[in-house]
Amino acid sequence: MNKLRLPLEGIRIASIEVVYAGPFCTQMLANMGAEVICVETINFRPPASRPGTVHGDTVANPNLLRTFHDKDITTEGIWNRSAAYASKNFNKLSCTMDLTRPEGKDVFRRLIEKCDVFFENNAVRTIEKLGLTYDVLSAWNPRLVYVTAPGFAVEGPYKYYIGYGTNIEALIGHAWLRGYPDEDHPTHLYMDVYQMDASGGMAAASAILMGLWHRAKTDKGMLIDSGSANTVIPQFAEAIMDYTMNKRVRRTQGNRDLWAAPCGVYPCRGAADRWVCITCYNDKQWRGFCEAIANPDWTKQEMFATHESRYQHQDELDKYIKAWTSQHDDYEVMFILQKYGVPSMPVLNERDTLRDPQVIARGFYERVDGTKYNCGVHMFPGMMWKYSKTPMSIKIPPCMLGEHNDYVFKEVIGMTDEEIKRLEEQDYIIGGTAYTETALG
Amino acid sequence: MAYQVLDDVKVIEVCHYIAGPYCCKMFADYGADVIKIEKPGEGDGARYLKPFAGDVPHPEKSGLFLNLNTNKRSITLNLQSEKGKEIFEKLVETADVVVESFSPGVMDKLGLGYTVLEKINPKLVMTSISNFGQYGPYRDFAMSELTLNAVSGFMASCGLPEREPTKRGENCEQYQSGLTAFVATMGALFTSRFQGEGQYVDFSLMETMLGSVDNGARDKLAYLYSGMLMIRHDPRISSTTIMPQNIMPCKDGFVQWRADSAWWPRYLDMLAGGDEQKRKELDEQFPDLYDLDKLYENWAVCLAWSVERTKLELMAEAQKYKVPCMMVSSPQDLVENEHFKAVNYWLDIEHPVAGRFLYPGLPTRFPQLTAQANKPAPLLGQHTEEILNELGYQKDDIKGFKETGII
Repeated sequence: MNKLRLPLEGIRIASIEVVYAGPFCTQMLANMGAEVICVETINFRPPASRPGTVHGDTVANPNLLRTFHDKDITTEGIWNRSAAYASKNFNKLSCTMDLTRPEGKDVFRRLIEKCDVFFENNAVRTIEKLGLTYDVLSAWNPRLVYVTAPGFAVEGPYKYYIGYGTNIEALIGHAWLRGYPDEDHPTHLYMDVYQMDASGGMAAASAILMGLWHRAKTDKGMLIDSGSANTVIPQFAEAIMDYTMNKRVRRTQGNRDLWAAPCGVYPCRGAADRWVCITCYNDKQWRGFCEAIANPDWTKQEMFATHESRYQHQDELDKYIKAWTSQHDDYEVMFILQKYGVPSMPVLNERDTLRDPQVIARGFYERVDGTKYNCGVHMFPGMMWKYSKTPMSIKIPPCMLGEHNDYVFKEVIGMTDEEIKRLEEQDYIIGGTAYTETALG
Repeated sequence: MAYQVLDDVKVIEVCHYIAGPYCCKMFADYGADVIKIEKPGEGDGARYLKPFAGDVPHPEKSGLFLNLNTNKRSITLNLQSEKGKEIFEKLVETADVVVESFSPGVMDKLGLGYTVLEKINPKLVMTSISNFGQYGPYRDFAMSELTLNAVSGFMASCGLPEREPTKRGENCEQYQSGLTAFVATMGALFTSRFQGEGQYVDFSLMETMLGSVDNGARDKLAYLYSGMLMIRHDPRISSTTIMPQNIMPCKDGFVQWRADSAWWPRYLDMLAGGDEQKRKELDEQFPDLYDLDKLYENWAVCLAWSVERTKLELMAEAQKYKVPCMMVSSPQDLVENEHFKAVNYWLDIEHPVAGRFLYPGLPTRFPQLTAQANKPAPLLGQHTEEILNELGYQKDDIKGFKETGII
């Protein structure tokens, strides 16, 4: 049998991507074998994309500082050493050019002529200001699949609205639907991890795949609008349809569920901050739970007799369960309950995910050699699924800023050494003039 | 039906609940022929889940099910019967994709595992969606939305430090897993279509969560880089700028702020509202964005400004100054929001039993294509006869299948 190529080998994608959703999108395609060329500029400052690039923000922000390999951010190449950047930019290439001046933009035009896909997730205003909208790029390359993933859509009243995932999630209702149910208002909540970047990035990846599918059939490129807000709303369909069907305005369930009891997070024995989750969706799982904990008397009370009555008496139920879990280690609870078919898992922190038996058995973390950018050798979070015939892996470490300029300018675009030298001397393909706007417009 | 992007793709769905059906909904909504195989008499378990239209439990009235199964066709089939297996194999002959979400090993036990199906159709892509993957010590473990959050590695950092960690809202992680499974399956479809060979996709919900982006992926690597864990912290005492970066009250609700040095001058412009003298005073009062000694002083100025404005007014004004602030919406606010109405985001779908109401729209749009599939979810077994006819079965065969409980 001939060895199969990776699914997207031979596909070239130029990308102007920022923050989390954009890099996450092309990460999927790069893993599947596409050649992803990130177009960057050293003076352009995409917030949170390459922390440490310019300005003094990082120094003052201990939260971000934690994410660097080497905390001395005054040293050369700090922009290659942030985990925020590195965790979603492997298997990609990076080149730098100044898109704000005609000569730099002309280099970009020549790159687009050689690409199958252009992807971006900037504010709509930014792309308009740079003059890189679909009508411009499709004139350069009619077979181009152009995927844009701004906050909203390329139309409508909020077309020019700006915001991070956190803002948009508030607007689409997620802030309302998460958190603690007994908090009277959500101002105390700090939810550092958001859903929109995951959904926006993944939906944009699917958009690119569908665009390429369309092109293979029709030989034509197209514009695809993958506005991030539109990608995350469907994930809260049940709350939305409870409103459109029944005019019911749902509030947060916290860690509970509409049809499970018990359903909660319980403290465990041992070091502080160890928790285990337990859910029983039905009678069968409840009976399994009772058997697993050796049928203590409290489980036989009238108020726990049926699924409905357990649902009504969850607070009482939780008190008993908490008393039991507190005597056990979190993994111990998991093994005891899973043996009886009860959904139960410890709340894993970052360290736990590295030593978890299932994670290790599946080989989720992969070794990445980052010595060339002074990051040493580390295990990286790796592939999210497994192909039987075209296995994916981390083949190229996270790209350093402008690392692949030579390859892109010479081999992809076909420039001569003299041309490169001239453009470099005039800062068209290395630095460029200061770009004063942030990527979010 | 006019042209749609995936209208040359045929998918066999043997899935239940959320993740698998959401993956196949993507195929169906973009034009693929998705044949949903359901258990005779019972169907997908999601048919019995809330919310129900009119709050009446009914297998054709679950909003959760209706939304997840738009544009699909339903056939009831007993996969444990020999005839049922034969029909399934016939369906696989002409299919591009099979997506299944049984527990690991069930398809093999039925004699319908990938090793069997690839012999019937070498170009077939088969995606198995499971909780923890097809192998490993947790292979047969049970899962819930809550425990799915727990294995991600990022739930530990969500919530208040003195309380238990909190999950994300509703069942969103199962939807995210379904979306990811769609990308994984589409990738394999490229290998099948352009290199002529199908393959097997071992898809696990746990890995989707582990690799999922935002600060989750960052924090895993950050721990490896620095040895520091992300911990739950209180926004009132962990601000890194004096510009608000959390949820704050306004006149009639709450808004979500986000801070950054690039937005700081715009934020001050916004508070001054065009009053140059006031702007100068603000500059003098708050010379440094990072001077946390002035945090509450700045919040006081901000709150005095924001309590005079409704969430809609506040958001519009902030955005006028290019400050990334948005309102905290309830599901009602969202459905009534002017933007999503103006872009025709909501789908108005009429279902013969459940009735007519709005559904969430599609994540991705093709502005140059006009066609959009808009068929309601199928009734249980609605297309059984139609699909069997396509496979060449006659009226009498179908009558026999019905009598013997095969369909």
